[in-house]
Amino acid sequence: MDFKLYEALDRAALAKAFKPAGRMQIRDFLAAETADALYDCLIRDVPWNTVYNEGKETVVVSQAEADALSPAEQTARSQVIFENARSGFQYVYKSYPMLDAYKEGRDPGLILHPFFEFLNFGGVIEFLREISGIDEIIKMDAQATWYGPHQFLTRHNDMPRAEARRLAYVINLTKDWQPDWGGYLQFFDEAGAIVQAFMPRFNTLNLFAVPADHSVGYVSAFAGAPRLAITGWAYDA
Amino acid sequence: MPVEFELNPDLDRKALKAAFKKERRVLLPDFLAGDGAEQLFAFIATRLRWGLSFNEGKKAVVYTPDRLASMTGRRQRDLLQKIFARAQTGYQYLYKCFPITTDPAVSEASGEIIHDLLDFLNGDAVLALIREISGVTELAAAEAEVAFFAQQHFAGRHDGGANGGGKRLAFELGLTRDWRTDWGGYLQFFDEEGDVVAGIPPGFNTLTLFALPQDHNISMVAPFTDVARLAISGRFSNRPADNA
Repeated sequence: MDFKLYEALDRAALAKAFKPAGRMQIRDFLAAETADALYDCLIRDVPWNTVYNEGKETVVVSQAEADALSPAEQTARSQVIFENARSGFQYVYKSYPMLDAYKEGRDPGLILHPFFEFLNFGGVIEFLREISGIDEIIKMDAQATWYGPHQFLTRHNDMPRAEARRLAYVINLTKDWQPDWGGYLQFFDEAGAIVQAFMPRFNTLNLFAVPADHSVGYVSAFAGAPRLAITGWAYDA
Repeated sequence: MPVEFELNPDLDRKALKAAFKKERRVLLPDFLAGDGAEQLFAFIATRLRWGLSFNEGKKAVVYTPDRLASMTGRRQRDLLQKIFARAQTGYQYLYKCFPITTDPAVSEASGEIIHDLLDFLNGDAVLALIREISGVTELAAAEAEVAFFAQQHFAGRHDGGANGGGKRLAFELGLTRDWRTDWGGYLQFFDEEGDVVAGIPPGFNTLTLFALPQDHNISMVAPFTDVARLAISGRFSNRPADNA
């Protein structure tokens, strides 16, 4: 698979659009064949884990472990997650840790591995430097994500480990989303108002400078498709 | 004794007018003077019996408080599933409501404080203020209901102009305190492509005023909230309301 960016990206215009707010959604980010191949991989091939946090600890549940839970156990787990979300930072979604999996040689044949190489060595970093004006960017990490009904990532600003993080990115690969399904990438002002929120949209690059208060909105019970993405940060060290 | 509501005398009308002109929507902080909002909240939070408001396609359905109370848990869950199934592909809303009308079959609180509020919204002071801010000089009446968006309730994206009938502006007077960002329930405004250009969190004694038609929704309230999302919502029209 020969990954490519969409060839007609107008980098000068994108850089100009990024500058005022330090965030944007770029349409038609990848070449169509690249985006289609990634979509097929995410919807069909990825061995997903469910991830959520208990306070500061991340809990990783494999699909096999999740399948072994009784409905009562699943409900109880959801209740704990919801209870924590009432007052604290909380997330729950499906994830595939692309960086770790790449380093450890997991799941050979998954095209997420060569795509991880593409992110770091295929011209994407140069593209991000041009758009953001941050010339110090030298590497990217990545995870694939799947948000289904009742999943979310509450508001945070990426600060705790933000030192080397310069940009956050979401390559969204969701098809046929509806506005009322939730799951928007939301940006907040200090008073808690939403100043902008991007709809999950196929083959878009959602890019923003960190720190920035943001969240992935609660995906409603009736979302008719998964919210699929490859997401992470670009670092200067 | 009717409650005499008053406007916050310190509203900066000039600034509000300028903001409305620019965005076709504006937030009026501390809308009611004195303890008006407190009195409303105290009544609504403790005295109202709620009905359920939802749509079946284009048909608006309101279950009376008695009907809602008589439903078994299983029937309520079945209803929710049907509503969610429709919401996946079509326009849908679901929330608890108390229509402010004088119809005794619907309203059990005639003459109570929320009717005093409706009179106030239809009075000269408020209509003059809304005319001034919006520039819509022919406003004649307000209609309103009390809305309680409980967990998993929502209002789908729509432009509010479908019913016509002279409805020019919509409003929401928030009666919600201590809301958290991640609980959802934002009044969101959309551009033509479906991105959110502004999302207003539930607030207390804030009046959100916006021109119709304008794409908006109320995002789903998460199943984890500590407080009720309460508001008076309604419309200002350029012809007399049926229920005023």
